[in-house]
Amino acid sequence: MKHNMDHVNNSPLLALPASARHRLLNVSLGWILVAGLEAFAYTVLALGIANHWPPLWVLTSASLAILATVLVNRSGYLTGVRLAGDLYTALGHALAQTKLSWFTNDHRSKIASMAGQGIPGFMSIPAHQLQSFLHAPCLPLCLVIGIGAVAGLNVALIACVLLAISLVVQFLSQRALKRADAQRHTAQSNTSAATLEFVDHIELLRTAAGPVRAIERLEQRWETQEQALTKTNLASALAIFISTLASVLPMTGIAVFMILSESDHIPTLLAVLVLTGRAAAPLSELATAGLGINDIKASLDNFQQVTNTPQLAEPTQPKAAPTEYDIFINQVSQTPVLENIKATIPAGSRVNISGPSGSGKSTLLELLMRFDDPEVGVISIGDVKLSDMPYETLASLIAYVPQDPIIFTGSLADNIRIGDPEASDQDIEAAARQAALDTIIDRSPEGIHQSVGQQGNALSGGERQRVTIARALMKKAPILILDEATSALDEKTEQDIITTLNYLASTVIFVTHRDATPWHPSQTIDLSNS
Amino acid sequence: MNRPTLRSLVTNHDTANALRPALPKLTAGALCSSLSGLAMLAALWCLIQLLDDLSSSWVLSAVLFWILGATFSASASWLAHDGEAAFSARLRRKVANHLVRLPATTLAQQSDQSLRSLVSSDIEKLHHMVAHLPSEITNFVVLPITSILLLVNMVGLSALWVLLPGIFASLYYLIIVPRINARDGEARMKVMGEVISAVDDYARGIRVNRIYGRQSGALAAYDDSTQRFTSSMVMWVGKVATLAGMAVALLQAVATFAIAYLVAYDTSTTTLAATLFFSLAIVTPALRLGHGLDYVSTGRAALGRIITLLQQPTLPTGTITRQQDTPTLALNNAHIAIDGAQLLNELNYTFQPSALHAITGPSGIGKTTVLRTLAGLERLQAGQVLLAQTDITQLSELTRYQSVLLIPQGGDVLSATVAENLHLIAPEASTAQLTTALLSAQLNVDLDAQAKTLSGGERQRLSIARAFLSSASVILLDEPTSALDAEKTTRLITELERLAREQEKTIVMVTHDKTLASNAATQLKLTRPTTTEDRL
Repeated sequence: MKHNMDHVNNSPLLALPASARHRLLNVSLGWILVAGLEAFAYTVLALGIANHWPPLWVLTSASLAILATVLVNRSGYLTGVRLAGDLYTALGHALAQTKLSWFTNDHRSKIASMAGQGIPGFMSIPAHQLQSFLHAPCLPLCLVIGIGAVAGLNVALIACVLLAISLVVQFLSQRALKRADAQRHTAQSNTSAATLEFVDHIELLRTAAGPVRAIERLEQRWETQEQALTKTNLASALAIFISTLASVLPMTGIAVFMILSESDHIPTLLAVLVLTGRAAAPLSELATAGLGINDIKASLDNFQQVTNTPQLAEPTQPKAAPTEYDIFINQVSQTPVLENIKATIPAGSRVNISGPSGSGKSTLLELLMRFDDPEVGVISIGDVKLSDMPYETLASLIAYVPQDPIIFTGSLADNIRIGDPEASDQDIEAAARQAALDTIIDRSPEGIHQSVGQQGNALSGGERQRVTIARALMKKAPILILDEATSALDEKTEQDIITTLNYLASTVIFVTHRDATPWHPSQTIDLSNS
Repeated sequence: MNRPTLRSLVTNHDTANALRPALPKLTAGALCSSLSGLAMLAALWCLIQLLDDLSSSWVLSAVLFWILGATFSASASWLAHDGEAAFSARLRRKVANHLVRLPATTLAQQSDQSLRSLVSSDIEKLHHMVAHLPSEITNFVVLPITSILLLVNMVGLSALWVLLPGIFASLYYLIIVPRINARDGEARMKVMGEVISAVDDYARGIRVNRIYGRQSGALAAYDDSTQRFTSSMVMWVGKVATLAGMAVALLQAVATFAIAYLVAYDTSTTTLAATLFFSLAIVTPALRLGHGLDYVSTGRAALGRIITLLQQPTLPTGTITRQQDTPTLALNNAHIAIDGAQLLNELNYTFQPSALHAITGPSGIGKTTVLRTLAGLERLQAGQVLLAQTDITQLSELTRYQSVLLIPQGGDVLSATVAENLHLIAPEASTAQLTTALLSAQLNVDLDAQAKTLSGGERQRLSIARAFLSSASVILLDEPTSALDAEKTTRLITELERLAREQEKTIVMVTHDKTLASNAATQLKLTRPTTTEDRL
């Protein structure tokens, strides 16, 4: 089976981690075993009927099948949960290696929907979908063998053909039913859309058209949809008619065949009818499952998309951390925004990155922190290229304040201590006051130990920015990068913070949409024409 | 009305009204569904007879019953869906008609989202309950009883043993599952919610974590939370997995057939066949139970919200249909309150016909509410609005609409042409009339232009054009000039004054423009209510 899986390279199942595939494989084997045991139990029953056996063997084989069903079901439920756990873990580990430029808002919402709907949806695969895909087809197949054992090859062949026809017809009519349902759904949402227009303009409609005519416009659209619905309902009734007949076709066919072939052993006839009935029972489930396979494939594809993300290679022969912190940007281009950027940023300088929005200011900052490698050109610190440094080394050189402040659930101190895990409470309070957080510290007796709420929601936008600035100050890194870090602050507070920053020995690289003069930039990299 | 029961559907006046015309079809649908099941049972009975008497006529009868069963089943589907469609069509109209007659403040209290879902998804949520629940219930009663009668009749009381597996499984779905959900459902949702927010937090913080060298720590914390998820969920699921597995296993025919064989192996082939074929009497409906009854609770909640809305009182109306000649509009000891809190002092004021009047006051004081009250779209706590000495709540709603036109602020337009927007107020108006009205409103646009493509100021004037098309003798305008320049404002006001004078109309506008207000014939200045504390 493993061998097989390696062959189907395109199978979306490969998106799943190996542990999850093993779990699914085990449950799959379980379902095949259940189908086999169940078919065996029915066959023993049929043989019992045909040969008038005492019930011992029938009961024994039935108990075995029931026991296996209980166990496989139980393990199916539990496997579903563990599968979800595996997938959550795999998602986290895949993201841990993903290059940081990938984490756009769009991709983050994909991750969120995978976590909220995609993975929970996989939980039902082992107990339900695998049952439909494996147990439902295996049971009729095994029962055909059973029919052969009870009544001979000819009858088995006939049963086989009848079952196949029944399955195909049921598949087609279920497909028609599914389409009718989709149309019903479309009609319903069109009706809702008409109603929503009415709700959105209710004041206009009732004042302009009056209470009676306000509904008129809506009425026309409703009637169109209601007529469409009537047609759909007829189509689905027809599909149900055909599907019901197809489901009894195998039993009818076998009965007719047995009569025509003048077999006069009544118990055998009953035995074959029982087996055929059981073989036909899972066909409608199978037909429905066949229609659902695309949904599962789509979920697997989505999982593959969020786990098979672009990564940046760590250097195979890492170089030691640089001792000089001059930054060299050499002929760097990154589509679509940056072209041929060249600059040298001496250690300790104040650099303003300027340009209109969309000119690539954030992109350049992100390249400096190696959120991505530039398509063309090289960035180095001292004499070491960024791509030659282990990421941890690069990270130790840089403190970063992003445009939209990331605050973690916890206390003010927890959030600032991220800059330096060894810092004492006094150090943290000092950094916080440097970042103009005095009013917040003083407003609660808990001081820096007060909670910032869920993801910082107890703080205002400007307060969150100041917390992330305090965190960056705490790190005391030789290079400080600020991406519109003071955008939500009033001018007075901003000026206080700029004054603090101007005392630092570090290189300060910043983007601001306000006047850059208070920063006293020693250098400006203008991206207007890049 | 927080916990509606299924009975509310038939006991509540409004929903029962919507349901009544659909009832024959829904009942027939449930009946057909049962008849279909009975026909299928009859077909099995024919097969059993076949074993007694190998004649092709029994096969033929069985086939006939099967065709009958399929026909009934298709009819059941059509009847149920068509009946449900009729029900939701009526309910939809009921809800829309109710909304259009609610006081403006009641409408405003519904959040936009809840109102939208109330009229769309909530009605859809009733679909399954109305279309399928009746047949599921009858099937759950009729088919088992018939099979059991057949069993007892053909085999004897001992045959009842075969029902055990189906009964156990049904008890699981009907009693144990709801209890487990009530007990553990919330805790399981919480565990689920925790892992989802762990993923979100982790993806959100990943840049900060890496640049601050905390990646390995964050990943370890993340792994912890996924492990907590797995172990808690395994615990919850483990508690019920065996029982759930047993219910599923008992629903497989294996269990039932084994008992049937034990009971009947020593009888005649016909008896054995009857025992086997009818033994699934309870299993088949129980299998449907396994697919869940969630739609009942979803439907019940939706039903509750719809009924609550329908119970909100509508605007009071009367039966007077006579239109007044001299449209003097007066507020008589009017108390305007929102949520019981008095908004303004008692109002006594008369707007004379053939003039343009202004209502002014600081923002937030309730100018719009006063205007809506004058239009009869808001209930008064006490006092009256009199139109030519008649309380407007005594007017029929059509007369009130024909007598008083309110043009709300904001210039809302439908996504349709300019002409269609104007036809809302005057369905019969000619192109020339529409153009004249637009010009009076200082708007020069093509009648075929899409209203949504107009600018904010143009939309506002499109709204005001309604004043020149309406036959109403009272016209109320809310901030009609807020988006207009001085020149257009002057010309528009001149047009409105002429309209008032020439057609003897009473025109009242809310404005914050002081010059405009002082030029009006009279000015009603709204002030904050003086409370007892103020006087002390």
